Parts: sequence; C-alpha cells; structure tokens
Amino acid sequence: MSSLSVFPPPPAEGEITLCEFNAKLIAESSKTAKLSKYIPATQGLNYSSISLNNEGTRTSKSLSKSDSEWCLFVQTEESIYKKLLNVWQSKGFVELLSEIKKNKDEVPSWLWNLSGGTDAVLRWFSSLYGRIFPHLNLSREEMISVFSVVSSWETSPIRAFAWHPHVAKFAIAWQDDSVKVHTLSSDVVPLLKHKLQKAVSCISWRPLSGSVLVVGCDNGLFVWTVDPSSPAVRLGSSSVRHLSYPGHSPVVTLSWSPSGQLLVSGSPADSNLLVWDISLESATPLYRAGGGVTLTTWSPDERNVFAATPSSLFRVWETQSWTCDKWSNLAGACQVSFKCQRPLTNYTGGLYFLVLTTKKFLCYNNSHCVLQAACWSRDGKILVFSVANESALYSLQFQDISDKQNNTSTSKGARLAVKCADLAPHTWEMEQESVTVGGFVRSMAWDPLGERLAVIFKGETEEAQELVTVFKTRLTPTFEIIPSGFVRGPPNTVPELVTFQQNFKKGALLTVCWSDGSVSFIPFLFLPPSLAQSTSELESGALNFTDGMLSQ
Amino acid sequence: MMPSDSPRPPRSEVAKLKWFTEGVNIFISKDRFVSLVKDVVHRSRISAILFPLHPARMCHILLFVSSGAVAAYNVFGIWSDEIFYFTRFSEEYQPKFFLVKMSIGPCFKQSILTCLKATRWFYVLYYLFGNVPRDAFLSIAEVPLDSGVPARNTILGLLDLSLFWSVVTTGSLILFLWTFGCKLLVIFYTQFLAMFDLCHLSQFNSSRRKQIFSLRQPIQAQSPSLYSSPLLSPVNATDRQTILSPPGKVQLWSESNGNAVKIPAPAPAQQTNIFIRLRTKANEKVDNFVWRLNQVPHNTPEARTKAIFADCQLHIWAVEALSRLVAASYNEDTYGVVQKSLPDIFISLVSLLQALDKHSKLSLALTSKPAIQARPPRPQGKDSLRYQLRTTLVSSIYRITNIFHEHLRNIPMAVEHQKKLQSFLEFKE
Repeated sequence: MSSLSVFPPPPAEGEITLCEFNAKLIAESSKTAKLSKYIPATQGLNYSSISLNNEGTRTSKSLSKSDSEWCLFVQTEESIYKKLLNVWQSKGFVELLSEIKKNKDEVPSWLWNLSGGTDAVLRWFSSLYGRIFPHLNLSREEMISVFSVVSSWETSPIRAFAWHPHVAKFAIAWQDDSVKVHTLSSDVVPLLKHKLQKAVSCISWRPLSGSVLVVGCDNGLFVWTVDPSSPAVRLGSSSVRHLSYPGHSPVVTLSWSPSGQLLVSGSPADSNLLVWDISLESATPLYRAGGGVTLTTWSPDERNVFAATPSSLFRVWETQSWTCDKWSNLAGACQVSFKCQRPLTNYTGGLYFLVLTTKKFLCYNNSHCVLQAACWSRDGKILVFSVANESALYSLQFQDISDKQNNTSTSKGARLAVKCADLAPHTWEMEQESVTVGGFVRSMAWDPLGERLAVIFKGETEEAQELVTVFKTRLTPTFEIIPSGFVRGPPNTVPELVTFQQNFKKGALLTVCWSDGSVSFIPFLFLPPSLAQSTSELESGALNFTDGMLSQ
Repeated sequence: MMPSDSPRPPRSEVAKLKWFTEGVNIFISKDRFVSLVKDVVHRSRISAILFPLHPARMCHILLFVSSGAVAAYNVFGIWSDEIFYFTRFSEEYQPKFFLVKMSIGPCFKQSILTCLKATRWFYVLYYLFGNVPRDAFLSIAEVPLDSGVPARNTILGLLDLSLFWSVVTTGSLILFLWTFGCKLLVIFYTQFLAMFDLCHLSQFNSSRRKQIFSLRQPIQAQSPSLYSSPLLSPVNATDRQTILSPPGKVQLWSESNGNAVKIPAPAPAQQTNIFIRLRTKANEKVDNFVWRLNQVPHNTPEARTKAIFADCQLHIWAVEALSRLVAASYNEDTYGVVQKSLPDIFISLVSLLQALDKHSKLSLALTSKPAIQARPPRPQGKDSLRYQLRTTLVSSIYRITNIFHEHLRNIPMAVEHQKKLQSFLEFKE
C-alpha cells in the first residue's frame, strides 16, 4: 500500500513544476522557468497561456432571484391567472405560491389566504426535511461551493474547466459567468455568455461530437453548439438552448454517456437524478430518497452510472433496465473520481472525474460520513474512491456476470471496498520551512490512460493545500498505486481544479487551475506499457483497404 | 284413465309454445338468476355503471351476445358469397395469424393465473379498506345500511362467492386484454423490435455479437431450431420477411406512406453469413432512405417531408447498430467479416448525412420562420426524430472514424465524401 512518507521531497517554495521527464518531476525557480528547455517546441506542445490578466474578469453579482424569464422583448400585459399558470408550468408549485404572495392586490383574498397557509405548512415540512438533510438549509451559493469540484468555488476566478474528449480544445468558465472555448491550433476564442447563465458550476463536452457543450449553472442547463469552423467570437442566442426542470437547480454535476446519447445531471437540492435526451430536450426523472444528487459519472463502458448523495450513501445505476444498487454505511462522505482510461483503439476517451467535498457539510453533520471521490477504469471494472473523513483511497472491483437465461450480461460490484493507499499527513523538513502534505482528499483526477492520478488535499482553512500530489497507477496484473511526486504552482497560489487532457499522445498532460486565475499545463512524458504494445501491433499490421477488401 | 298430478302436454302449437316459455320462466325464477326478470331502478349513476358487472348479469349479457353472434354467423353464411367465408391475409401475414391463434390459449391461462395470484392482495386491501367507500356512499346518499349484507371487514363478508367470481372474471378479462395486446404487438412489430434488439445487442451483449461475427451459415431448411432461438431474433425476423415475400416484391423495409418505394434486388442472402445479411438489411434501409430523400422534389410541402421523417426511428436504430457493430468489430471480429463491408457501411452513412443536410437546407429555405423568436424552437413530436437522426448519424460516423482514423482514407469514394471524411477526422462537424 502506498503512503506519502515514501514520496520524494516536494519542490521548495518559489519553485514551479514544469513537466515530468525521465520519470522525474522537474521544478525550477519561477523566475527562470521555461518549459522549452526540457521539451523542444517541435514536440507540438504549444499551449496558450491563460491568466486572469488576459481576461479582465469582474466579479459576478450575487445570485438573487430575478423575475425575468427567457424574454428578449417587452413583456406584454397578461391576466394574473395566465401569469400564474405560466409560473406553475415553468417553475413549479412553490414558485407559484410565492408569486401569489407577491400579487396580493390582484388575486382574490381567499386564494391569497389559502396559498399563504399552504406555504406555511410547506415551509414547516421543508424545515423538518432540512433537519434531516442539513445541506438544504444552505443558500444556493453555499450549496454550489460545498458540492462543486473546485476547491473554493466562491473565490476562485475559474469555476469550471473541461477538455474536449477527442480534440485538443477546452472550455473554461470564469467567475463572471462567461465560458470561453480555446482551441490549441486556432486563435479564435468563442465567448459563450447568456443573461440567465449564472453561477456556472460544471461544463461538459458531448462525446462523439465536435461542437456540443453543456453548461450546468444555477438556472439549469445551457446547451451550446460551438461550430468549430465558424469564425464567430461571440455566439448568439441561436446557438444555445436552455433546459430546465422544475425544482432541479442549482445543477452541480453533469455527465455524458460515452456514446453521447444521454446526459445525466444532478442537483443537491433535488432528489431526482435527471436523464436528458438533448436532441429531444426531454428529461426523465429518477427519484430516489437521499436529499439530492451531488456527483454523477458514467462508467466508460456505458453500463453503469454512479450517483452520490449528500448523505452517507451512493448508488450505482445500471443503464439497461435503469435499476440501482445502493451503497450505504460509508465510513465517510463520498468523493468519487471516476477514471476512464482511454484505450488507444477505442473512442471512449474521457476522464470523468468529479469530486464532492464534504468539508463544510461535515461541520453541520458530524455523525454522517459521505463519499468523497471515485473513478472508473477503462473497462469500467475498477472504481476508486475516497471518503471525506478518512485519509485513504479505496478501490472497488466490478465483475461481468452473464445471465444465461436472458442472454444478457450485467456488471455487478463486489461487496467489499479495498483500501489501496494511505494518505496520512507527512511533514518534510526543508531548508527554510517545513511542508506538510496529506490528509483528506479534496478532489482528484486520473489521466485517460490510467497511468497518473493527481490529488488535491484539503487544507486547514477553506482553501486547499498548495501542492498537487501525483501518483503513478497500474491496472494489470493487479491494481496498484505508486508514489510519484508533487506539483507546485505559481507563488502564493493553491490549486483549485485538476484535470487531464483527453487526447494527449505522448503520455499525460495535467492541467491545474490555480487560485490566481492562471492555468498551467504540465506534460508528463512517458510511454505507457499498454500504449507501447498496441502501437507496435498497429505498426506491424498496417491496415489497407483496396477494392473494399481489407488486406494486411 | 290414471289420475296424474302433472298437466299433460298441450296439443296445439300455440299452446305448446306457451307451455315452453312458462316452463323456462319458472325455471329461471327458481334459480338464483331471479334478479334478471326484475325491474331495476338505478338510484345513482354509479350503480348504473356497476350494474352489468354483477356476475349473474355478466352471464346474461354473455348469453345475449353469443346468441347474437350465432345468429349473425348463420345469416352471414347463408347470404354471403364464398369470398366472405375467408378473411384474406397477405402471404406475409399468414404465419402471424397462426402465431396469434396459438398464443390465445396460453395468454388466457396466464391471465387467469396472474389474476388469481393478485387476488390475495385484493382481499387484504378489501378487508382493510373495503368499508371506506361504502361508508362514504352511505353518508353522502343518506341510504340506510342493509343489515342482511355482511360487512366487508368480516370473514363472512370475504367468503362471499359472488364477490370472488366478479373479482376473478373482471380481473382476468382485463389482464387478458393487456397480455394479448402485448403479444399482438410483439407478433406484428417484428421488424421494429428486431431493429431495437439489434441496436441493443450491438451495445451491450458481447456473446450475441460473437455470433454475428462468426462465420456460421445458418441454412433454414436444415436447422429450423436455430431460427427460433432468441439469439438470432433480428436475423430471424428480417429473414422471415424476405423469405415470405413473393419474389420481386421485397417489401422488407418498405415504407407505407404512399411514396414510391425503391425495390432492392433480392439479395442472395442465404449464402452469406449472418453479419453480411444483417448488414445488407440495415444498409438497404439507409440507402433506401437516401434515395427517398433525394427523390423529394424541391417544392415539397412541409407536411410531406414530415411524413418522410415520421417513421425514421427504425433508421436511427439501423444507423446506430451498424456503427456499434463496426466499432465492436475492431476488437471482436476475428475473421474480418465486418471489415469487408466497412467501405459500404461508411459510404452509405456519409451519403445519408449529405442527403439529410441537403434536404434540410432546402426545406429550411422554404419554410418561412417567424421573424422574432423568443427562444429557439423546441423540436417536438415527430419532427424531433429528424434532429435525432442527424445527431445519431454524426455520432455514428465519429464512432467509426475514431477507431479507424486515417485508414478510412484508403476507401475508394467520391470527392465530396472524402471532404466529409476529412472534416470528421478533424472533428469539424
């Protein structure tokens, strides 16, 4: 079992980690650091530099409820009942009550009294509910920042980051609720901004598509179509669709099925897990008790969906018949990062790593422990997760069970999670100061090949610890986690978000968003054994089509 | 003359008839069907609705209906020509008719068994809550309680035979309708279900995929059992239809909306293996659709284009199943069965995409849109399938290009298809 004490000492303060080269993480003083010293520009590693200075980000307004619906033009006068009906249809019953309350003069008095009474009763019940699920008493912003992947969502300039699963392009959500799409080979940076797109908490590219990006925010989902061949910098309202479902806000987690057909979304305030068909714009709610959904990830083989709740249980949905397995009595809150390894030969390139923090949640509810992070392996057979109040990583193996009678096969989880890494804090005495790393996991990410695992730890305050810990991982013959090193960012910053590029050919490319708004791209250059093997196979048996026949 | 108690049968015909009817009347009135000859006044609408559900009345109704049916059958037999004796089925449907006939008995049995099983729950509920609606009725209608009838929440009330009879009859009738309806759907929508099944197996079931990628050649005459196995149900369904259609009139994937249907040449399918045949069917489907799209004149009204896209769910499944099979073949296809037809599949997918784009461009130009849109229109109803077809198609092509990458360039194809391939390889779609 891996432990932090066997790690090499971390880079000193003032240094910045550049890359992994010859199996070593290289750090240099931040003043002289240049990546090109180690990796020539001819390697094609030309990443645009992203920092707050280039963006001119302004702080966003607070999330106050606004009356404006999707309406670009002057609102026409409509009768009160029509208006109420509209509110009921679009926002649900609770909003209807508050709308009646607002229009005391227009509605008849009996209706006003009735709705006031109902509202009071509902409030009483929801306060009871809130006692069972303390997170429901949080304000919306607090709720997002507790359950978002970002270490400190409220103060971080970057609120979400997503690499495209197949192409070298990524989307960043800034604090002012704008989303920008950067393509490595092009200077065009489309800006995605909408009046209702507030408090962005997650973004996700559609797999097997070049253009569709879904943004999850306070108001629901925004589906953007970013045409890669169009030179437009600012996208208009013709390329966006707004999807919402009554009661389903704020959305904090999104996950596409690997084939790009379905999308699941979850909100900590809504017990429904929503399964969207984006092309039909229809949603199917899957209701299970648990007080909300804080984290969803789709397994890379498309058979299972993982859904965590704010309480100490999580579910694994099986996607053929949509039934679920419940896992409860966890030793801690759920922080799950689903790994998806990308085999060279397959399209399911995706790193679906999501984390649910529980630091704040635990302050409210010390008796509960919630799952914290989890990852799927490339074949969907291994799930690695960590719990909130235990400094360790656990793994869970899934097996294929074929049902001879119905001629189907389902994958079922083992009944026992195995501890695979001990993350107890360890202190290094450096020349000037001492550095302590370890503790509870805040978030983590696994690279698409399944070779590197990056972990952010919780700090003592709200912020995360300043170093990103990197492990090497191996899936065959047995699953192993091996120490590798630490990554340090620009001076006086802490990591907010870690992720990996999905289609990096020369190893893995770690992307870290820092608390000063800069993004660093740290290439880990290595030749993974699986890649080496399949490359040689491919080279030896060159495929060739002639006259519709395949000859080797 | 011997004195006798019983009246002698009357001699005249009229008297005979009178005697007979009286006898019947006496017979009925002595039986428990006595209620049939009473006048009934309904006090409420509910009672009027529930009145025929009484077991005795149901029997009565059944008798009436069956006597009517017998009479109608006789009249029909006497007065109609020979044609009316038989209902003509098209040849394609003949085996289905026997399937339906065969399934009636088991359906009936199954529904009665299910009903009996469910009855215990009914009794539990009835015992617990049976009094609630009755008391409600009583208090609303202010009717005095009939003390002769035992209360529902007593054991005596539960042992009522007529209650059991009505529960079982109504329950099994409803269940029979449901199961038989499902059965009919399964029997008549083989093509639909076969495509769905194919799509499903291409995604989830590696053992059945293995069968498709195998070199085995099922020969119908020798191995009929193979065809009844669930393993090959898609092949089964598609093949059965080809075989049963008269030659030269392959209606396999024909569409029923009045458009001219392209008649594909009957493929010499029997000689090839399962995948090739499946592929041929699905490919034909896609090609057919392309042909139809190209056939549409430029000034087609919107209604007609809608009709074309109304049934494209099958096409969506066909496209998806094809692409998934191709994707799975990279690792699973040991004999190269799929690779042989990869060029055909790829070209037909790309040409469908192009036809679709061309068509939507034309129809977009024609339809006048409202100048101001408060929000982008939601695709709804049947029209949404058009969008879904396109998204599925794009994803499917990506699925293939992501696996075969540059190797696809070696496929001989038209210049415009090559351009499309290029943009797919660069993720520009």
